[in-house]
Amino acid sequence: MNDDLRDALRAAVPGPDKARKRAFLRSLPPAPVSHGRFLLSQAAYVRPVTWMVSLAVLVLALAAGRLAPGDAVWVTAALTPFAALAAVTEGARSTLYGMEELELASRFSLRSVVLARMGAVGLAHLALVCVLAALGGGSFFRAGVYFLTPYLLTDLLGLAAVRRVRGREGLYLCGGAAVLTAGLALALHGVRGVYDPAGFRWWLLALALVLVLTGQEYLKTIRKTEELS
Amino acid sequence: MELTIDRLSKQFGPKIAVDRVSLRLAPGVTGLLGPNGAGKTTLMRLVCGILKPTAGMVSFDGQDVGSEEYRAGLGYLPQDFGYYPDFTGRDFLLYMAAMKGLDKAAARRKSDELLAVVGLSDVQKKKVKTYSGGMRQRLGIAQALLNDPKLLVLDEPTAGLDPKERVRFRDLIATLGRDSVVLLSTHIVSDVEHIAGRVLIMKDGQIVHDGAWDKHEDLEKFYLAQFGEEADHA
Amino acid sequence: MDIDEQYDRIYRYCLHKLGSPAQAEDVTQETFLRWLSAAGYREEGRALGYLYTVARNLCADQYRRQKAEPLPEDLAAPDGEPGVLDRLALAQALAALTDQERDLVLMRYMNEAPVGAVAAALGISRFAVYRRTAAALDKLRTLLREDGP
Repeated sequence: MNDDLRDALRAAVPGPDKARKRAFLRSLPPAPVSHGRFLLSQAAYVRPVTWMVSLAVLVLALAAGRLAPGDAVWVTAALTPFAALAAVTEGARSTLYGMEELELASRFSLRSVVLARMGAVGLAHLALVCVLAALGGGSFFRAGVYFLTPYLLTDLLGLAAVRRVRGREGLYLCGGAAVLTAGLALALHGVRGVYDPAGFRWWLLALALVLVLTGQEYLKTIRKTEELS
Repeated sequence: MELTIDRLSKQFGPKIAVDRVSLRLAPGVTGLLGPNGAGKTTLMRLVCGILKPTAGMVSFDGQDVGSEEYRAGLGYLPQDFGYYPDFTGRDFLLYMAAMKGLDKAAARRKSDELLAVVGLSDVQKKKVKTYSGGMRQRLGIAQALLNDPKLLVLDEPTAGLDPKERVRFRDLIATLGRDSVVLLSTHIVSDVEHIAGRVLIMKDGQIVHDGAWDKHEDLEKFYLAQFGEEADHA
Repeated sequence: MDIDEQYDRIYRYCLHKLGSPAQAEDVTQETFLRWLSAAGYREEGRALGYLYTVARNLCADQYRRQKAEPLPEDLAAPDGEPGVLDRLALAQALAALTDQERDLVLMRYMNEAPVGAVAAALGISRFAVYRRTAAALDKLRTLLREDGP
């Protein structure tokens, strides 16, 4: 009886004239859509792999902190490049899978897609670095710098690579950059005094340089999403 | 409802791909013919705002091509398009619906409707990588229609369709042409003969013929005269 | 919010109340135009509250202009199969409800509008919406049983 009555009420009156309804709806300005909702929906399209890699970095770094506290700092510095690799790969998917043209012509264009995805992953990674720095045991700020610098270095090399080299090759280059940066962290750990407070100002210098260059790479990447290339 | 193209040009280095094209398109189906390299795809990309012009302007009912309103009313089927791996046909449409700003309820409703229109309802849960070329093309047509566009731009839409699919597609386009501006590029003459009310012929970046199509005329002969070569048939 | 879908629902609401497809269409379109011009009310719950408020007010304006209740015979012949319940009996039973009861049945029950939206449109509490909708439906069913075969 319940649904019968509802169906009867609906069936008792006909629907609107389809042609006039369509003409009316098309005459309206596009319905306002919240950008926030779009960002969230794009974040949902970030591949599980990306989150898993980030989680793996977290877990491994924490494990190093437990099992080999003396080496935890350089191990973490060698791990964060792989989180950066995941981030850059995520941002490059539109180009890699040939979705650019379709996304560029959509209401929320390619630029929003890339910004949303990289933004979501970037925020998560920022949180990741903060967590690792907080649990590092030493100074939060110094640890943060030690972990962020290799991350951003990989980021900037990776973005430059995928921007210049199309397709899978660009991503392989990006992978190479991650491995190189990790290797650098590995090689450096043997050098005396690298992680000592005395040498910290070199790290700050490096971070400042890398920040500026990474910022530039992001700007170039975003600008590239304005049209098909 | 009118698409206005005003002295539009696009240059890639020394090559001029589109050369000072000016057009006004009213609702109806306009066919864009021309050999490969004539600039058809570049022109369509400019109309879709995915390439920026070197000079000139494109607008629809006063809205510039760069505006969100313009893109909200635009449906585009590129010549080639990809898809994220592991997407099913339905996933693909829902993703494109999100890109076009449809909310979840509207996205589901329109996807169901369009999958039926293009005859892909049965395979919507299958992965796009398993689709034939014709099926993928039909999926592409479906995504172009998700936002009920007032301006529909189709680049070689019948490529890869079998004869039955092609007839079905022509009927669909003819219907859409009644109250939308449809710009359809092809190098298959019979596509145009059957549904275009107006034919543009493009050569070396310029429009060399622009006219309402008299269905009794022989497009073939005219095309030959222009290009001194055989037009493609399907 | 799926505007296409909500247009249909608001239209049906108006058509039940006004009896004339032309008037229902005018009111529905005017309702949406006003919604678009209003600042805010973009989130779905608030949007529906606004839409039903305006639709209800505009229908009331139409009544005042007509100065007469729409006769059940004015309802245009619906497409599709007739329901189990006789259309005329349904229309007469609806006409026997109070304005608020009718609104509750149409908005809350037929259109399944969220409680918050209905509460906003009718100016009553959410609890009252639940309670009075159930009462209105009971009354409607009783009326139909009395008229029915």
